[in-house]
Amino acid sequence: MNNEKLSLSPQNVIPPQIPPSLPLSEEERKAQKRQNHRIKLQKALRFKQKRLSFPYALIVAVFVIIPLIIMMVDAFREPIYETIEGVKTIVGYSLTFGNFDRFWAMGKDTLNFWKSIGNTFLLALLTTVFCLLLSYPLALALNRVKSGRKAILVMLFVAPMWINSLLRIYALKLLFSNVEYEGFWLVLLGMVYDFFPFMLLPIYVSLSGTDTSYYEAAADLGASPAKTLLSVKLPLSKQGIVSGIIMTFMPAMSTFAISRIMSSGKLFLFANVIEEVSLQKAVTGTGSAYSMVLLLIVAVTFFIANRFTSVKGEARAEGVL
Amino acid sequence: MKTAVKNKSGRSLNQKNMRKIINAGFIALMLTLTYIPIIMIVIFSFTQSRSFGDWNSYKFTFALFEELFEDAEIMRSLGNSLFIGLVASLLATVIGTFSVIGLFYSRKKIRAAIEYSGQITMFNADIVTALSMAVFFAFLSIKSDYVRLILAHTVICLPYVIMSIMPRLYQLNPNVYEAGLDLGAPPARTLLTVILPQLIGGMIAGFALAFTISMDDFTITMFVSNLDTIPTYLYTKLRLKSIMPQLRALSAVLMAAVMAVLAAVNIFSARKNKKSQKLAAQNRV
Repeated sequence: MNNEKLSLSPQNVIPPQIPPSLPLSEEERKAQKRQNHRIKLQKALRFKQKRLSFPYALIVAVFVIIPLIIMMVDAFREPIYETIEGVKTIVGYSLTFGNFDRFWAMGKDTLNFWKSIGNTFLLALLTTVFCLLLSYPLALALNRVKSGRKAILVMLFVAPMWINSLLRIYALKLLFSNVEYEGFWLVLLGMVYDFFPFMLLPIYVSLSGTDTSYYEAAADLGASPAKTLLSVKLPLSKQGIVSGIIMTFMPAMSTFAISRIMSSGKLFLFANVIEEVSLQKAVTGTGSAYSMVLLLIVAVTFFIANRFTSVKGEARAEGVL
Repeated sequence: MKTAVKNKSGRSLNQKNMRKIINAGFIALMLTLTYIPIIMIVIFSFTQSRSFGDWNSYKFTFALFEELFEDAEIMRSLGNSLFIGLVASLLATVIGTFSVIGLFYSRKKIRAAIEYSGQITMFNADIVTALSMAVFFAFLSIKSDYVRLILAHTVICLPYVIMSIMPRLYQLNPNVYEAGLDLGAPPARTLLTVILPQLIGGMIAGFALAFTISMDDFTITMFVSNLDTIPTYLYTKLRLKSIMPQLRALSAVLMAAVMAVLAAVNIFSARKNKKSQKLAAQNRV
C-alpha cells in the first residue's frame, strides 16, 4: 500500500525501481541529475517564498495582538503610587476590578456607563436603519439608469467616502450652526450623512451583479413588482445588505468625532467616554476597560453578521430560486 | 379590441415615463442632499464673514486662503501628514508585497490565520486599536513621536495593501515563474524580475489606498503621539468649538484636492478601458 503510493508520485519513480547494477547512459544520468536538482531547487524555493510572509506575521503579532493583550491586562490592574522625594511615581501594580467599578462610579453625569452605551446602541441602530431605508431605493434607482450615465452617478455618490469624514461632518455642522438645537437627532443626522455611502456601495454592487433575468422571470410568472422586490431582489442582494450593515453599524458604534462635533460635546457616546478618560493620560486603566467592552461588542456583531451571510443568506437565496 | 390594446399600451408608456421621472428625481434629490454641505463650505471659504450661511454679509475674497497658507501651525501639520503618509505607505507597500507572495505560497490554514489576524485592525474600532497601541508604546517606552506614528500607520495600512495586491497574484500565470527558472534565473532574481513587475498595478493601488488611509486617520494619530497632522489639527480645533473661518478654507482646499485626484484617476482609467476595448476589438478582427 505504502509502496504503491510512493511509486505514484513522480519524484520517486526513477530512483528506487532502477537497480544500481543497471548501467545508465551518460545522457540519462544527466537528465536524472537535472531532475533531482530541480526538485531540490523547488523545495528550497517553496520554503523561501513562504518565509516572505514571516515579517508580516511577526508585525501582526507584535503590533496588533500583543497590544490588545496588554490592553486587556491594563484593564485589570491599577497603579500603586508612592511619593518619592516629593514626586508621585508608580511603584507597582495591583490586580483589581476597580476599572470596571468606575463604570458605575461615574455616577449620573454624562460619563455614565449605561447612559452612554444606551445612546450609542440606539444611535447606531437608527443610523443603520435610516441608511438602509435611503440607500436601498437609491441603489435600485441607480440600477435603472442607462449604463452610460450610471458609472458617473455612482462615482458621484461614492466620492465623499474619500473626503475625510471630519471635513464632511464639519461642513454639515456649519449648515446647522445657526440652529439652537444640539443633541441626539443632530448627531443621528451626522451619522447618516457620514456612513451613507458605505451602505450604498455594497448594496449597489450586489444589485448590479445579479442577473436581471431573475426579475424578468418573476414578472413573467405573474409576480407584482412589490412581490418581485420582496421575494427575489431582496434575498438576492442580501450579501450586499449584510456587508452594508457591517460597514455602518460597527463604525457607528465606535465613533466619537461625529457626536463630539455635531452636539458640540454635549452628547457622550461610549467612545467619547474612552476618549475623555484616556486622553487624561493618568487613568489608562478605565479607558482600557471600556475599550474591552467595545472590542467585545464589535466581535459579537461581526460574528453574528458573518453567520448570517454564510449560512442563512445562501440558504434563503437558494430557497427562492 | 384594438383600441383597448392601444389604451393599455399608452397607459403603460405613460407609467414608464412617470417612473423614469420619479427615478431621476429621487437620484437628483439624494445627490443634492449629499453635496449641499460640501458646496456650501466651498462657497463660504471665499468670504471672511463670521456667520456661515448669511448671504447678506457675503463678500467675495481670497483672504481666508492667504491666511491659511501663512499659518505656520497648519503648514507644519500638513508637512507631518505628508511625511508620515509617504513613509508609512511606502513601508507598508514594500512589506505588503513580499508578504503577499509569502502568503500565496503558504499552506491554506497558515495563510488564513495570518490574513485574518492581520485584518483585526480593519474591523476593530479605531479607538480600541489606538488605545491598545498607545498602551503598548508606553510599555515599550518609545519616545519619538515620528517612530510611533510611522509604526502605527504602517501597521494599519498593511492589510489594505495586501488586499489590493492579492488578486493580482491569483491572476498571474504560474508558468511564467517556471519559465524564469527554466531559463536559468535564480529564484530570488526570478521573483524580482518576473513576478514583481506584474504586481506593479496592485502595488500602486495599494500604495494609494495606504496613503489615503494614513492621511485620513486622526484617532490613532491622536492617541499614539503628540504630533499634529492635518486631521488631528482639525479635530482639536473642532473639539474646542473653534469657529476659525480659516478652517473653511482648509476644508475647501482638502476637498478640492480629493475631488481633483478622483476625477484624474477616473478619467485615466476610463481612457485605459477604452484603449483596451479597442485593442480587444482589433484583435478579434
